[in-house]
Amino acid sequence: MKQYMLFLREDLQAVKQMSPEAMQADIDEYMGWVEELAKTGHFLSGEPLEPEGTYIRSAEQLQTDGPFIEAKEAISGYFLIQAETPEQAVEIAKSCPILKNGGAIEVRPILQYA
Amino acid sequence: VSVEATIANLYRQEAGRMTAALFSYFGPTAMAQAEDLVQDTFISALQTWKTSGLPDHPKAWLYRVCKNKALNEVKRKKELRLAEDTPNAHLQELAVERLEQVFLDHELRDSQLRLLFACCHASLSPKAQLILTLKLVSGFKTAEIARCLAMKEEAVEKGLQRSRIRLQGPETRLDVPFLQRAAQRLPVVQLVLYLMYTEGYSASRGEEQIKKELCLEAMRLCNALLEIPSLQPNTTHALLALMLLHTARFGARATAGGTIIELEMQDRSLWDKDLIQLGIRHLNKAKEGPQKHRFLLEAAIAAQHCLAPTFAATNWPLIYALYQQLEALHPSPFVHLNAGIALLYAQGPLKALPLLQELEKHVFLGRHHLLQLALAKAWLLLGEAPQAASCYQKALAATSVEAEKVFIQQKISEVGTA
Repeated sequence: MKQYMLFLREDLQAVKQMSPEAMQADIDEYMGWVEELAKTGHFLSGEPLEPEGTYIRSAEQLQTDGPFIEAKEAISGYFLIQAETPEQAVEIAKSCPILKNGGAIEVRPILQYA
Repeated sequence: VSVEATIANLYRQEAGRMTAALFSYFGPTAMAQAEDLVQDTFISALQTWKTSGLPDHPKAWLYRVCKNKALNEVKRKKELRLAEDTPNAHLQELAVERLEQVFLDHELRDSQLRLLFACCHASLSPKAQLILTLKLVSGFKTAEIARCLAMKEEAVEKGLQRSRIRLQGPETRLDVPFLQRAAQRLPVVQLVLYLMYTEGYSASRGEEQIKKELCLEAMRLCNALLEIPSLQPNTTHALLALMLLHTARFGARATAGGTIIELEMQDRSLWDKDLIQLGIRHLNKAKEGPQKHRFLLEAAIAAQHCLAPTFAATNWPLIYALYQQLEALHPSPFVHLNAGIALLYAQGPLKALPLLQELEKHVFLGRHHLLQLALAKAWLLLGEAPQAASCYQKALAATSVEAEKVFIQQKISEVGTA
């Protein structure tokens, strides 16, 4: 099975404003999703990310608060999965709870040398 | 037994086989047609049997009517094409002959297995494969699938529609010799049966009765897989062993009122000895194959529980070692949790507590009621009742399943009075 990185993207401002209860309900939903993927061996790892971090770019190493805090779809978490086919990876991504909450998910195969 | 109940039983037993036969007759592009014909057949049965009573051989009646309906469909299609295609008596004869053939007993089994492999299409998610299998191969109704997977009916229906489209691709043609490709897709099929069984077995979601049927169906399909020797069945033996060894303990895991009884407190005389023996037999066959396979390891763990005369006499060091092998093969937070629980009984709370506390940091596992229950147990073994009580409270907040809530509340009151 090939490996795929799933990048979860959503509005980080909205994430920051979530109540603790809403956040917990959210995590519980992910727990069910992860448990199911773990059962079938498709789940490898994954975590949500803190909404704040540091963004560094170019040779001058310009450093700003990141990620793109104003962006509507910034990375809020990741999952590393394995799947039989690229289509299956996409189908698994489509079942991710993020899509119910107005977020987006990006499916990227891990690059392998042929 | 009412006509309705008889029909419901026959539907569960035969609808999948009928759909599979029609599916291999009409081809994958006519799946909706195959499903409609099967529905029609059972509707006819209901109408006829309600007025004139059950026929002598209900099953034969169903297959005859289904065949006739399929034949009418073929004729009707021919008429539609009259203009361009002169009707040919010989072709019609061939159609009848082939139809007779797909309804032969061994053909029925084979086409059902072919349909199972088709449902486990590599481009579908495991959950979608499971839903499709339950619907087409196992004859579960949409509402029943929704009930046993704790989903909304509309969500099941929507998923089915999307999956059916996938199944119409050229790679699902079922008439090509399927056994050659079958071996390659066997692991996917096994995973779907594993998922079917665990969905049925887990006490956490859905309704009791329909879930038991899910377990039985998973075992039935496993048995059917074993009838094809070319599939190198060692891992399938392991899968079936795993299912049998869990099913053996079904009767002891809850009171008549539905209250959960934990392993430690179960009346082991209620465990089904025949199923345990059968499970061990399949486990031994599985051991002739690859040793480091998750089904084999999981079945070996289940066997250790089944063979232990008491909870205290369980070979926990061996179970912990098996879980460590499983962790190496399939690292997931849930396997780590099970390993942690085995460690708790193998080497005691002082060894296990740090490991369990480390797992508590995991965002998706930290609040899981099973982890909190394990932590509570560790604290209790250390004589720290207040710590245990706080873990029980966390476990209580983490589950929405009534039976689990009742169980945890009982634990809380035990700690309170200790």
